[in-house]
Amino acid sequence: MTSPPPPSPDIIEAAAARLQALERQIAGAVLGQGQVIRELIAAAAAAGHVLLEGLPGVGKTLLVRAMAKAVGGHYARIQFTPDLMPGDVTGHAVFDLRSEQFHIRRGPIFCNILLGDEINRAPAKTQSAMLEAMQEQQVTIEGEALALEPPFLVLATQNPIEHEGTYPLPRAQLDRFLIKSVMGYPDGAEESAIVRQITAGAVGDRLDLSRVQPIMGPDDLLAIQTAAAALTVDDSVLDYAVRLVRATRDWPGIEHGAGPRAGIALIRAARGHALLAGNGYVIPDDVKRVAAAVLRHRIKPTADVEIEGFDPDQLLAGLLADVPAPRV
Amino acid sequence: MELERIAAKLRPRTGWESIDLGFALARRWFLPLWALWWITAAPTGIAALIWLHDHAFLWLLLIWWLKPMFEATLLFWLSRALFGECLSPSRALEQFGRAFPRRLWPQILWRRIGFTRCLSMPATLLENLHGSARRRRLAVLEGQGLASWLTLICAHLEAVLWIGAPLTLVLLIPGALPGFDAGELLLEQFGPDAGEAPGVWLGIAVMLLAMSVIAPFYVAAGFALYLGRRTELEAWDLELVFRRVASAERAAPTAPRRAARGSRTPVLVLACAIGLGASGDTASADGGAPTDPTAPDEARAIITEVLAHGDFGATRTESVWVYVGGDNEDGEQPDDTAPPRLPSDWIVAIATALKWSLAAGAAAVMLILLQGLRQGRAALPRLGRGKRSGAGLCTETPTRTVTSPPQSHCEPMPAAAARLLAAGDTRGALALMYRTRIESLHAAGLPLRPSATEAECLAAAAALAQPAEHDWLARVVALRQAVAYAHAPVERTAVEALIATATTLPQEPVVLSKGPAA
Repeated sequence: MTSPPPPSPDIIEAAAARLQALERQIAGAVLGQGQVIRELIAAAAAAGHVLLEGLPGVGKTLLVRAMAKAVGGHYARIQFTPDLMPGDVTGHAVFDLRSEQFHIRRGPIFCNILLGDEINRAPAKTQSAMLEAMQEQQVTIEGEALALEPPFLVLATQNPIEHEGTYPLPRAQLDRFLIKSVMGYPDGAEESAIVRQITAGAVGDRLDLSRVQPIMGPDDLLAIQTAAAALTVDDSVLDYAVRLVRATRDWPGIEHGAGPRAGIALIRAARGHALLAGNGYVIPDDVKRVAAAVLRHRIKPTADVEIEGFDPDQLLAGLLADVPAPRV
Repeated sequence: MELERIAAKLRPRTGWESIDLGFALARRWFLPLWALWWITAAPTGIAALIWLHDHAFLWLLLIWWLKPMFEATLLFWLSRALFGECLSPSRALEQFGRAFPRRLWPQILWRRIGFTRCLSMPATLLENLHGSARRRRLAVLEGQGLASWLTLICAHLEAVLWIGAPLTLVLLIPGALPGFDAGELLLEQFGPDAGEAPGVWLGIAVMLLAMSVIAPFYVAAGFALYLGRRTELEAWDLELVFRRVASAERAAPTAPRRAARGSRTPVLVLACAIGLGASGDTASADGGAPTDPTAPDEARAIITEVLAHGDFGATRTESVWVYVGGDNEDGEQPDDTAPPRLPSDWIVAIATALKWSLAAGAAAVMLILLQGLRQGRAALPRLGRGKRSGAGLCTETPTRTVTSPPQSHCEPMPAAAARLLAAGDTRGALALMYRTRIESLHAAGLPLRPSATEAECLAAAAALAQPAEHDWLARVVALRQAVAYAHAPVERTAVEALIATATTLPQEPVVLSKGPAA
């Protein structure tokens, strides 16, 4: 298999301009989450699914809705609950009395951007219904494989607290998410700005998306993803990504390291990040910037490390500070 | 010597009891003794650290070798404190500095290695004996040979503390803590790269702590052995009793004294006689003896009177059972009450071999120290007298980690880059410029790890480099990334311009080597 030719500088410039405009649009609606926004856009450029984790009220849903509005296309939302059935996500066959035939009723997963809100509140069988869609970009209903229209992005959210009545995502499903972004609390100034912006003339607590303007369509996003996939990755950069992933497997405090899919995800996300930065090639900085987001949900800390209060990000910070960067 | 002021109770003690007494003294005055050890050792250690900061083990060896110097201050302080004169550290050091330095040289030179140092130091330093007088004195003092055991025990206690403290720490710290491998930290000080391992200084700190904790006990126990032996040899306990009786006799009213004279006279005479005898032996230690209140003729008369007393001259026969051994036993029976002695023959052989091997090692260390001193002088400009000018210093010290074709081992960076560019190796020329500049910034104090990427190096360089230099570095990075990661062609003129600008920057020679760069 030969690599596609690298995109021309014009294509890179245009794609980067759109991504940067997208970043500005989202940042206008979601304050104080610059890093998460960049990770989200990099994942979108890499055609990867995103798992957003954050405490209630930090703007997870707002972020996804702002993204969906700016990108355009068909947006759908599923509120995951314990009684949600797989058919509620993928769709099902219904019998039409008039035609006396079964018709496929497509579920909300048939969209371009899917918000899976509180995904860990649905049981495992419903969560796994999304596996096929996320990995293979298709859904099988009544034995019939139905392709999802590209671009297809799943942006799922989950709450790191209140685990009662939740179903933690299995590692196999977590691996389907290209990145996991963690939304923390904004700092004081940003929080003041958020309160000021949201409460200015607002009635009730509806999410205000009036500042977000559609700046591209699904086709544009598809073109961006195509350009990102063709960015040049030097062997030394690829080797750096692999070394990072392999280091997680024998790093102190990590019980299970990341699998080979993590290396693939790391390069994909780094390509998205490079394109967002306006580069036609991937540099080690791109890999390093997205490494935590790509790896944090793919490693399992040891029990004593968790008891000591360390989280995966702290483990990965030590790892990133230890693995030598490529020197050409 | 004013025995009346002694803080410990004087009585004949076995060697082990004397060591117990020493440990009790060390416990009582541990804090001042410990502080005094550090006050003496810290300046020496810091001064030595300036020269030996790159040779951790040599530094530790030096401190270990100078232990008698630190212990001598403890001995001096203890010898005063035991007789009621608790000196402040500054006063102790002042008096010590006046009296002891000349006596100390042999202790830290040819007498450094010795199993009986704890006992020989009091005799040598406090009595200021030399030559054959010292040898005869030590032969008398050594007695049961417990000084060797004390040295062995304290050395082992030091080792136990040195190894046990970090080991306990390692066992208590969870093994999977991120970024901290306590076991590796502990073991790396014994590895091939021990000189650069961070755990080395941790181990050395623990060793120093162990030395400082054990030293008061070692010195005090040695000093107590010395006191116990002198008490035994010179009957200090009897002297003390008689001195007190004599003192009480002088202090009592005249009439009662006469009345009591008949019964106390023999005791007084003995006190005087023993006091005279003892003062002859101890004169060298205290420089004075109690005055004899009696004239010879009168004393002779009193002695005759005493000998005529019923307590003297009477004979009495008593029968006791004496164990003579079983039928199957023959020869001399071991004395169970005597402390075990070291097997003298082989211990002396080992000690002698150890002594000469350590002497040879010490000579080697001295040579290494001298070499380190020379290197330290060479490194002085780096320690604060300014930056090296570069072109004139073509040593192997500044290591550049550039993977390039073999070339001259000492060449200014612009010239080397220009040569690579002329050879068509644009990528190599740009890499050389980038690394050389980063290395020079790193040498100037820029904290960079091998994991630092170009952007991180550039961001860190902004803090140290001049704006023009930083701009130059940013252009080098941009071109280098385009060549290396995008496989894009770079205009030769752009690289030539960078090389031309590089000639205006501070230069350092390039030494090529292989391996990961910082």
